[in-house]
Amino acid sequence: MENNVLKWLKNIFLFSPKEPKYRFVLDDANNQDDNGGTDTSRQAKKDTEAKNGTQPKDEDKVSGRKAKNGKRTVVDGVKQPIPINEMNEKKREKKDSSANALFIDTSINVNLEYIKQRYSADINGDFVIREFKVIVMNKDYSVFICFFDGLVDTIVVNMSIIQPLMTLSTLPVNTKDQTVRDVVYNHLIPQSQIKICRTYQEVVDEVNFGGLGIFIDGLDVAFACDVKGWEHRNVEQPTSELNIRGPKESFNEINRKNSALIRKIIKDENLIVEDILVGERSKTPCSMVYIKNLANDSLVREVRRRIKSIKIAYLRDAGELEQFLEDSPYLPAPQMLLTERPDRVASYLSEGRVGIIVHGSPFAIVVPVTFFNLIHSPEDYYLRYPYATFLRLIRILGILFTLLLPSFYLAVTNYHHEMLPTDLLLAIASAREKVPFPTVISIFIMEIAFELIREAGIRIPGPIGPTLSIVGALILGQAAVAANLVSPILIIVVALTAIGSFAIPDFSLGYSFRALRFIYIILASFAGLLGISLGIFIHLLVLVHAKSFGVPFMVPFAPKTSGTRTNVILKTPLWKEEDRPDFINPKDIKQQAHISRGWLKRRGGANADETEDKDR
Amino acid sequence: MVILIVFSMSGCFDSIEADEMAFVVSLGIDKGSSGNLILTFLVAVPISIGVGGEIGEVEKSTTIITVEAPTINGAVSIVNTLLSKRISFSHAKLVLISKELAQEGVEKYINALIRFREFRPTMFIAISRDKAEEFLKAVKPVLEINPAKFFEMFMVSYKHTGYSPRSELETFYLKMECTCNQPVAALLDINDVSDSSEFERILSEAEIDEDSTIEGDYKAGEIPIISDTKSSNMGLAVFRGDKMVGEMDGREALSYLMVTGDLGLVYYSLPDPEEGRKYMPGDFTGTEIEKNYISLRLGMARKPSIKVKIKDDRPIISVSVFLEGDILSVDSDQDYSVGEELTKLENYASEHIRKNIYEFLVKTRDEFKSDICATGKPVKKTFLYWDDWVAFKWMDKYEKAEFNVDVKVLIRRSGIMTKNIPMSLLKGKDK
Amino acid sequence: MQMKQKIKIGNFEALCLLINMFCSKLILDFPRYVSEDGGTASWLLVLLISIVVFVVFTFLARIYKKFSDKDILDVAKLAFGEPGKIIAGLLFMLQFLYLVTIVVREFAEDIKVISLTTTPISIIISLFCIGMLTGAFLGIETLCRINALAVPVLSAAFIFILLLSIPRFDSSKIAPWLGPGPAVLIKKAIPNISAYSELTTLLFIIPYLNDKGNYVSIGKYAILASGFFFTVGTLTYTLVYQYPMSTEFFLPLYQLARSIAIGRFLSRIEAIFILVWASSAFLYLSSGLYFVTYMFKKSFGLQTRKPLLIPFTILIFSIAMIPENLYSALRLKMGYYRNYAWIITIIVPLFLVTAASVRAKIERRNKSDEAKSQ
Repeated sequence: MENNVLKWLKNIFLFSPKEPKYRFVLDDANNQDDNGGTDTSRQAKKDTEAKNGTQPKDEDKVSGRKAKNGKRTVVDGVKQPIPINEMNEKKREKKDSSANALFIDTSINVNLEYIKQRYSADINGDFVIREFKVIVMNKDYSVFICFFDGLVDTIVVNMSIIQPLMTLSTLPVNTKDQTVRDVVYNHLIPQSQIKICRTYQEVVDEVNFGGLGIFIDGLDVAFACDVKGWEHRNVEQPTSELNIRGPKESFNEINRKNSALIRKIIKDENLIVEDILVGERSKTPCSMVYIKNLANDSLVREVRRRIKSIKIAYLRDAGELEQFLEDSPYLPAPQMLLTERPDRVASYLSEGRVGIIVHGSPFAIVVPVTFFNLIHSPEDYYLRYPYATFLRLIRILGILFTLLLPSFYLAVTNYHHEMLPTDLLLAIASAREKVPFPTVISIFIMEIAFELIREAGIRIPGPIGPTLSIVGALILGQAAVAANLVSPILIIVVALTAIGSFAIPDFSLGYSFRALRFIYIILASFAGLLGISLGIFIHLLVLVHAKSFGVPFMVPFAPKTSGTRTNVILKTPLWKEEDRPDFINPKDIKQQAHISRGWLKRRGGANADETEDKDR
Repeated sequence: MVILIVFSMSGCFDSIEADEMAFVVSLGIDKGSSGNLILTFLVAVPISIGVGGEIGEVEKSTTIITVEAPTINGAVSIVNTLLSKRISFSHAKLVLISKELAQEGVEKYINALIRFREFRPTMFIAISRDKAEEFLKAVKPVLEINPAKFFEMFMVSYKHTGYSPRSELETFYLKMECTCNQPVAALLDINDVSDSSEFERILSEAEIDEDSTIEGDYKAGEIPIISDTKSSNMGLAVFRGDKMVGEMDGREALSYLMVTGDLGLVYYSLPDPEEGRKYMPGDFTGTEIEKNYISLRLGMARKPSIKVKIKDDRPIISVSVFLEGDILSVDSDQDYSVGEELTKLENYASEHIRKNIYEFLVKTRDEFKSDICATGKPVKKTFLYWDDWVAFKWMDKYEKAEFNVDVKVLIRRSGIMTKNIPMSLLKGKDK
Repeated sequence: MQMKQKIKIGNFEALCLLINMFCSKLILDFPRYVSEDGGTASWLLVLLISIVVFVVFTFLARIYKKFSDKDILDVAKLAFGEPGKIIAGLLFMLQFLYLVTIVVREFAEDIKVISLTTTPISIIISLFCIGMLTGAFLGIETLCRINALAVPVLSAAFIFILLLSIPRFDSSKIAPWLGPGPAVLIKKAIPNISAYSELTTLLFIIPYLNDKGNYVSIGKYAILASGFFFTVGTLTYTLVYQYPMSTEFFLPLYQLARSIAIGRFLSRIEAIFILVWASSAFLYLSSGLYFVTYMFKKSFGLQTRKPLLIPFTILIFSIAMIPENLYSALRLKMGYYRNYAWIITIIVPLFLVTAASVRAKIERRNKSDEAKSQ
């Protein structure tokens, strides 16, 4: 207990730097090796250290998301004890690897027994095993297939697997000098995706995800076919990012369909969809999507490294993956963009960013992202330039209202009375005559009431939901005024704040501002405008300090990069956007020709035409 | 985290709710006994002004407190023992100093007003011809409920009447501390007339410089007007240093605004250059000459220019004023809107105004001996060293100054009628 | 192979850092004591000192060229070895410590006069200290970035306040044109050069700049821009409030902002002023505290800088509470600091750099002598 207090005091006063040793910096010139490089080099370093007998430093013992080398350190000839969790982990790895190493037996009965035992087939109700016979090269072999009912498309199973195996062997086909395996693989299973598996683990992995395992007597390999066909949601309208112009498709929960939606927009063979499995039990397939000759190599490597090094049991959703991948979990702003719209992901990919699709989640992650990307909406691109600029200004106003309006009101009416016009001040004073609470308490009551209404409104079923929340808010406000709990001007302030928070396009950023405004209210209540400036200062400091995958969060303003700056706050016309954002360091910075509207250049013509037009 | 907790428990020292303060709208300073001051506070009552106030309860929108104390802030302490709310001056609109105090010197009060943070520099300052207490008691705004708004608009009326100067606190203080300027303040008084039959007596009591009394030729308190609002703002109080040395009436305030360049857009009546027609009144006691007037709306065409030449240690000050205006009404049959009649009118108006300005300047030089129009500024610009300027002593030299005034009036348009065909032409004379 | 995190500061960010460090005194009381010294020609005085500092800086940059990737403490080490580095570091650190302490006290007093009148000054100073601590904790790169964000906004607000005062200008207020006379102006210009005493920050951030020769242009632009702001600010202040009166106000620019009244409604805009001014204060103080701890660390060769933050903050807090009233606090600044700070800013770096280059020349001559003799 004392040690804990001492440690905590030391932490505060000595500020022992606990930053990760490896701070990723997004660079043009990258001298790094491949993703395994860091591990192998450290391994090599440790080997040399062990050889020379030097004492290993403490940092090597730090556990984290770095890959372990599984080696026990030796000091003074005595093996150092390792903590218990490390020991358990090692045991688990050994067990998994032992299970992984099991090869498929040639005898079908052994395979059948193994599969039955592995899947607990007598208890598992939806696990199906079908045994039948196939004729290959005029010889009878017994076959069994195994799959999960409900995960497979039964029509495909029947038509493409069972029927051909049972009947197709009667067709005359040249099978001279071919093994049974080749004959079956090449002629007998007309299914587009088949994998030849040597170990049980591969078959099990496939069957668990909607595949089908085929075991043939006498073969030491099994076939795993992809016959996925479960019930899923169709492609619908996005629920959280509504727009008027532009496409209205949104992702659904299957990662292949999601990547297809992106491919439909970027028809480029350089668009790479890399699969990574995350989570030991859930084995969620995640896909890294990027354009190979645009995205920065070190960025791609870093994303891949981070995803691959996640060791958890179960991954639920893209939101969870975001929390595992982000640079600073305590920052009050999101460092990745989660979006439901394929058109948005596609436009970010074509700027050189990397997208991550998670199976089972209709949200895709886009990295790296800056603060200003979070306040953009895709509709800015689909609208004409003057309206888009106007909309952006209104959105910025909405953000300022959400964060600062209640605290500003509090500071002005409690500390800086001379700032208000006299009429307004007398009106406020007269309205406050009947209210028993101080302004701070009134603000807190109303804000918390609105937050409750908003939270409850999500859960009320059916069409009553939104209506009830609006009506509830109105009635609550009106009743509060009539009961003299709050002054009417306060209702307007709180309502404007709530409306402003709906103007923030990004859901996560909206939450962050909604949470932070309470801190601003507290600051304003005890130091007025000075408190608000302190709050803004510290907030900005923290935001400017943050990085999202090596890109500083407030670029292009915080480090002043080259390139246009107007496009992040206001909008430049589309035909002027010649460069991709250069803080992502893509491989090709030009995305448009200097004159992107070719029709502006007149085709030939005598001089008379031009002068006549100009003189008009 | 401990620090945060400690902070939030330290409380909010300066946090004052809007309904814990009593806002003083106007402050009046009078002379009390044995060096004390009598201070009058006109305090706004928010509840009758804000949400839920009814128009009929105008009297209740303010409350008056009068107290005697040695200093302003001493008086505030006394009042705070009486009132439930704390007095706050941050929305005070007007400070009224009585004439007897002003004649003794206002510097100490102005310094107090400037130094204290709550008084805003854009607050108005005025001199009350009677006691400030009486004035503030008689203030009863009829067109608004909010007394602060009343004062704000009341004191800015110089922009469209021209009969009072611009007298904000900071301008007053700047002029007081300037080496080449003297301050002026607005003149306020209660106008207590009950019946229009008293108008003749009032007009004859006021100082007139011609046999026709044109509007503005009187000071506040002597105005022939009856209304529910008894407060009047006309004329200006002339200071030398920080002591008040005299008053000027409305017309002279108009000349002051013209010379300093603060004129807004004012209505100006001048007598017709032609003699009016004779007519016979009912009881044949003789013929009277009808008095005809021309009404103009004047504004500044350009900023006035002041040039000063020093000859034999006397400054010769040349003031050029450029005015432009519209004809609003013409009483006689003459058509002044075109041709040489127009030029005649312009010349006549220029001469009339020039005479007014000249007399005004002579009055400041001889009677008050104070340079309120800041005619010393061009002189100051010819100096290179501060000590030389201080040794020059402009204020003493002003008493020997000579004036050359040049006024140019240009009539631009004449209302919505280009010419007026007189009835006598159509129907014959004397009908 | 691990990549070491290197601090990189861009040009615009360094420029904004310097501008903020120079110009936050404009918001405090710079126009007032320049008015006391220069009378009606205070803006001429300011122009004069800006030109002088510009010329001196150009000269310093030329002789600094040999050491263009070292900061001033390394140069001191080259000149006089370890003890030289320690003494120079302590000297600069004391200057900055003094500056930060006085400025904290002044800002707190200003806030007390303007808005939070009953709050005890210890609480206001501790509020400033919290902001200062957070800023200095997060490092110079973050500070420079937030300067690059904030300084354009702050200067736009400042120019806005100046523009709105134009109706009250009166050109006769800066006449007589030469004020107390050129002799007095020149004599008073020397202590006023301390207005640019934060120039030493440039000498410390040289190793972190992107392109090694850039510090010259950054310094020149910073002096030019600050000179412009100083001159325009002082000129506006004198044009509105004439000479003997301009020495009376405690916060000159605040008074200027208070009297802006356009119509009945838009008349109370000093709220913008409080925000601008508090942000400038936080930026200045965080940078100051960062440099104090950085100099301490560098001159004694310590490993980490961050553990020094809390002790120095407590030290600054305690020292800021020492002056008993506003008058003695101001006297510290105007009396002592202004008279001697220019020595530390200008004379000491010149001295160190010349000493280092002389020594380098001697060593080179010795080496070539040895090489010849062998």
